Amino acid sequence: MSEFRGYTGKSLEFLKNNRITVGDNVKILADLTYLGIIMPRYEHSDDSHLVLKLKSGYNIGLEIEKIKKIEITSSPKKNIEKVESVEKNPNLPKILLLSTGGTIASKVDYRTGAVTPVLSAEELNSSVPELSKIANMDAEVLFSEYSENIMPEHWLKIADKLKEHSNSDYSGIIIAHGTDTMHYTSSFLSFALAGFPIPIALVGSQRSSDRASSDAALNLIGAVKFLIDCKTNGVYIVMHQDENDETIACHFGTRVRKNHTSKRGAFQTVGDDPAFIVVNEQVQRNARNNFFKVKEFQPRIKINTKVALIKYHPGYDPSLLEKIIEMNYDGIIFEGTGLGHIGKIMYGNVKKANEKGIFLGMTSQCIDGRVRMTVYESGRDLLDLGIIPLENMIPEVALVKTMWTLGNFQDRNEIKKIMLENIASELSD
Amino acid sequence: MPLESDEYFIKFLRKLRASKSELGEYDPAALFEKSKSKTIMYYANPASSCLVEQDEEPPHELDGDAKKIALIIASTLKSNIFSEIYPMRKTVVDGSNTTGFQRTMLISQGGNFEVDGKNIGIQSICLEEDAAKNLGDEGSTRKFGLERLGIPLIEIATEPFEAKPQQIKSIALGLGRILRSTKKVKRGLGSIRQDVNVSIKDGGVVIEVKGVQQLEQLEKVVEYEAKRQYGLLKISKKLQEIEWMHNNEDRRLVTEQFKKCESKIIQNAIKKNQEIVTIVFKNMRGMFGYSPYEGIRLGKEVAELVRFFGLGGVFHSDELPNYGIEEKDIQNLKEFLKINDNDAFLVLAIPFEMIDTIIDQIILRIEHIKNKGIPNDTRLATQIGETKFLRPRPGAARMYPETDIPPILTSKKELEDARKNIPKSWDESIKDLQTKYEINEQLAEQIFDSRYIELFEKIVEKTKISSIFVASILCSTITNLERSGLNANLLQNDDIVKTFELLDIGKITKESIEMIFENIMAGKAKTTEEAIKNTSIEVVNESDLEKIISEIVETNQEIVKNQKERAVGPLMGIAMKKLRGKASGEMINNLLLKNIKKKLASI
Repeated sequence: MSEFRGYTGKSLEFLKNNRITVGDNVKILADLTYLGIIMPRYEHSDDSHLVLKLKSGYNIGLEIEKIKKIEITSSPKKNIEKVESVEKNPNLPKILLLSTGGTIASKVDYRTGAVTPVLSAEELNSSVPELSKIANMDAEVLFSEYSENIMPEHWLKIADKLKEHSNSDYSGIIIAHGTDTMHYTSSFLSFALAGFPIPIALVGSQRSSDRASSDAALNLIGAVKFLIDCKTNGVYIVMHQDENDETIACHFGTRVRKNHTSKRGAFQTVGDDPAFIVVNEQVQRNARNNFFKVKEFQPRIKINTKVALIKYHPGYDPSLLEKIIEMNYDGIIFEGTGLGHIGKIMYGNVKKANEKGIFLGMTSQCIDGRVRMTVYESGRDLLDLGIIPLENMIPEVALVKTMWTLGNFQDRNEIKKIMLENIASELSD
Repeated sequence: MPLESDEYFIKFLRKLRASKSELGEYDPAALFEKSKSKTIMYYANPASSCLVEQDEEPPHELDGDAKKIALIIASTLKSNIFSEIYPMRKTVVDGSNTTGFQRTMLISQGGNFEVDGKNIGIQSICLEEDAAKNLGDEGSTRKFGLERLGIPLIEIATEPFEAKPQQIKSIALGLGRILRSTKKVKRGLGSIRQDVNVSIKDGGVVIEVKGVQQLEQLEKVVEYEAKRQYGLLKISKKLQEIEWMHNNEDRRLVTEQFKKCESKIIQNAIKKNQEIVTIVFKNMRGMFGYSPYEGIRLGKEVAELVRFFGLGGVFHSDELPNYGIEEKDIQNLKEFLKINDNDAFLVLAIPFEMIDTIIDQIILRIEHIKNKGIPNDTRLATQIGETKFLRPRPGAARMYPETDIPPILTSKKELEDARKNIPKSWDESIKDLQTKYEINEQLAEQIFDSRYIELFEKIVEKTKISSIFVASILCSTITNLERSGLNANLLQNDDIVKTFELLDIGKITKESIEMIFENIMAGKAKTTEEAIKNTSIEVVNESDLEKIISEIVETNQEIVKNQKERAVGPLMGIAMKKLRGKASGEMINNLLLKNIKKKLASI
């Protein structure tokens, strides 16, 4: 932490002139006398206030102009956190937790409110002690990024790390991940690591773990129970089923979406029940089929990110599509209307794209349900223009699958075949 | 407006976990709550709460009105307002907040006010959120309603002051009057709550007592709490003279030994699958029953703690034999425990999984009393003015920044507006009322102190009814009905206004008002109209009235003959029985006199 974090201009000068840094205990004489600790300032704040944490625990902002005198009463007390190491029980199954960031893998600095990454095995065990009673937890921090900063190269990094553990004695692997783009990551892993022998659970949380009401602990406990008892493999997203701290839902990683900005039960399997649920310590199976359609582990960890996802809407400007073609994209997934349509206005550029050999796939903005392009004339026109209907694949999943397919296969016919082949339950019946 | 309703369409289950707080420590109060391992069921009505209260959505912006009022109150109390205000989270894991914390912010510090010439300092003014309503426990599940959760509260903490218990009431009243002068503070049970911190001189600790709802309670609570603190210090001193240390061997499971005991409490507990447990206290004979002041005993402290965990059965050796536990049971137990006459013991009924937690808490408390004196509690005021254990007093460790809301800035203009809105002093307000409404000082004070001041002004403005009459109905009539056991909360402001409006246009009489209010306050009618129907007090028209009066005179000819015009007295009684509320007394009197005269002339 910087000595003057958040302070700029006048306030920074004031601190420097008085030889005071963040964390110092000070006595300030202004309209009243204040005793407290100098705290960092938020980004984007003005430069005319100091933030002071009073003995009562409250933070206040004091105007520098009104400060008559400031003096240090003592230097900062360093907090040394004691983290107890946990004894492993050889009779328990082993679980690996890979942390990639997001709310679940972060800790609030209670002094400042700043969020920092954590999740060493020890910290994990001390914040969720229940875990050590059901499994021996190993933990590793891969990187620490919020959802929106996760890029395809992060997917590759996770996949490579998982591949290293494909022959390990772990009963399951947890990936702690930010929730916003978790289903993109789970989709990529599903294709890149098809047939991966050990079950994988991506776990996130919708409420930060500083609060007593956090969903993080229950999601983690649920995930560990699930991984130990599911008796199958696959890539799953494991989160609260609903608003109750009761049932944990385990969704197929290719059939799931985040359908609410903030609720605990934001994740839902599209068009079906979650594959498994964990309730009252029991793992119940709903899924009729296995997640992977291949038996053998066939890692293909490559990607081509030149794929665009176009959400068609009334008023869509076809020159945007033209631009994408000019930018040498290799694949385009349309999120079309209803059964899989885009307006006539698009046809010219679609034809161009097809002639250029760009893969064109159709999904529906209805999210749930199948595209069916033979019902209406416009659909039949689009089929003629070379658009491939992608059944009931979720648009985001179709995007990721195209990136993966184009990264691993070259032949146009083979690409089409792979795109329509059910690899990891991305198509459901 | 929040809806106070017990209709709940939404319910959901949560478990709260104590998490490490700011200083890397667990807050004692939070940890203690967690040891009760409660599952919480929340009940909500979409009309009074949303996803924010359910902790399913981040908080929205600070309510502008709440801020405005807090600034006015801070200005009124001459408190120093911070130009940057920081919303904080105060850890509370008893389930009363779905988030596990209460949002709170320090608005200002310092300031003072005067009551009866005594200057009372202000420590701080905070703006915070109200908690959920406790709906009671069901097994190990605690239930809360969300209708009140998140309603803005302004907390005003005074500097500690030394005062006699009876002075405290007038200080609280004084502060209450200042707050109500702002016209922003509603009167009514619960809208102003007092938490009182009590500490005695020499060895006392600050005990926070919550839930004092009435000023009458305040005095008693302070007195009781002072007595308890003095008593505990005496108990502490005596404990220090005793050689006692708790060992794990002092805890024994004795369910077998009590199988034949005839105590109903014990047998019920065994039936409920609870275990009977004893804790032996070496050399402690007499300590649990020792009562330095009436009602203050170590035994009671332990019983309160156990009751807090939702358990009833705890007996100490100083009170046995009793409660169906007989001498022979005690002898058996003593033999089994191999203890001598100098030792004391507790007998408890506890569900198996809670045994360690509860015994640990009991031992911790007794050790604290012995070694450090009075434990730092947050306590709850009881109806009779005593206090009972609520939870340990939380430390500073429980506060950290609310990261979902950026700091709140207070502009110069907002501060100026607040200063402009500083209300008149109490004395001035009373004088104003007197001149404006031509009422005497006593009535002005009464109406100002009542919860109906705004209603009073509204009615007087809207109608031609005399202000004295309106004030006396609002102050004394309603209060009298309340004293006779009726519920003033059933009487809605709209119905009060409606009633006066009906009087204003002559639909009802002055005498009817009490009957209407009585009907509503007794729960017999929901509205003014319904009450009028129930009591059949609609004004009768003049020709009907004439008819009724002449009939009365006719059927009571004897009285008229004998008493002449003085007959109006007894006939008035008869007429009023029939016509109460349907016509004014004056009118009845005049008509009777007229008819009597007519009758006398015709005889």
